[in-house]
Amino acid sequence: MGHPLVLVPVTGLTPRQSVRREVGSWEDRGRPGGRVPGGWLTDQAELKKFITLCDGCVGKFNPKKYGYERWVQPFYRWSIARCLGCNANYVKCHNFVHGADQAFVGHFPHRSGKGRWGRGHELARENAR
Amino acid sequence: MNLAYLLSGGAPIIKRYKSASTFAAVGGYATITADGGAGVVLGLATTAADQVGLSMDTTTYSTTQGDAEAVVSLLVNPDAVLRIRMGRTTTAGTQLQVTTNSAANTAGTGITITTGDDAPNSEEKDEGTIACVSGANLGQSRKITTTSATVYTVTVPFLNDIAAGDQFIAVPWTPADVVGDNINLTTNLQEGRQDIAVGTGADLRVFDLEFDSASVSHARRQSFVYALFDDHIWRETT
Repeated sequence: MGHPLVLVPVTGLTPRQSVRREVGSWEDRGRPGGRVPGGWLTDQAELKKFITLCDGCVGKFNPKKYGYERWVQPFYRWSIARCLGCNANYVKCHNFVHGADQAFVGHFPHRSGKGRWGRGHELARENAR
Repeated sequence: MNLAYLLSGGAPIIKRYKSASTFAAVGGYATITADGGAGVVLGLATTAADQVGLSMDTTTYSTTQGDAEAVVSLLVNPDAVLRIRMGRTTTAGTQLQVTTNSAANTAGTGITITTGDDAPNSEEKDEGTIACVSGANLGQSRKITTTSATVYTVTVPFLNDIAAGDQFIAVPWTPADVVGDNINLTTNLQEGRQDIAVGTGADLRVFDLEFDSASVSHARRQSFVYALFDDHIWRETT
């Protein structure tokens, strides 16, 4: 005759779900819906988070204003990441590290202007070798 | 130790984990806890099984009711290349010892120590690397393939004759080597120790060596070993 249908009220989270949500609440899960990119980005900058920006968004962020430095990796200058501004996944995100972050070392190009003299301090040094 | 770069070109992934240790400084590393532990624990200077990541901030562990739960931010990328300053003792900030060659060697394969220098075979440096920091071979390095109480021998000769008075730095690491890996760290986990036998130390795989050849003084203070976690829990199945 089969089993009778039994409805069980779900009134709480399982222990596994609780842990997942608690741990998840500590982590950066990207820009929530309804937040304007600019405001979200400045919030992250105030928290001194590692910032990745795509080509379209990088020009709208002034790293000096928030105490940030551009960080490049020696073998692949950019990073494969999600843009903090527009939330797009991008293979050539520009990286920015807050000046107070002691964990990062490596290449911090001093100049990134335009024109023939603006290729950057690091590139000029590489060419001289 | 610090993050130098990532092999994959990815972005750093920083996660926060419950901690069962106090992380007093940025640049240590965490390993998974033993059964019954309250969270990840601070790694050790001499052994490092099941690494979780590089610590990016500090936290204080407490079991007192009312205290905040210890949570530490870890850079968990298993392909993270760490830059570790070369030091000499358990204390960070020391400078490397230089070996001054006392006997000219026209074959370019033997470096004889001066009395008072570290003995090549104690602590054992066979399968490590020796770099010239003063003399005709400045900037060159070779893998050490034989040692005795007084002589480092390399298989591939230095390009020029080795003169008496030339100065070298010998370290117990060789990149991509079966023996010359593992790094014995200083007590605060920030630096790698030169004064330790080859192959001993925390489970870190040596990726590269960097000697500052601007001067002997620079080489003693500004040399770095680059390494990856060799038993990272997000990469290894052990």
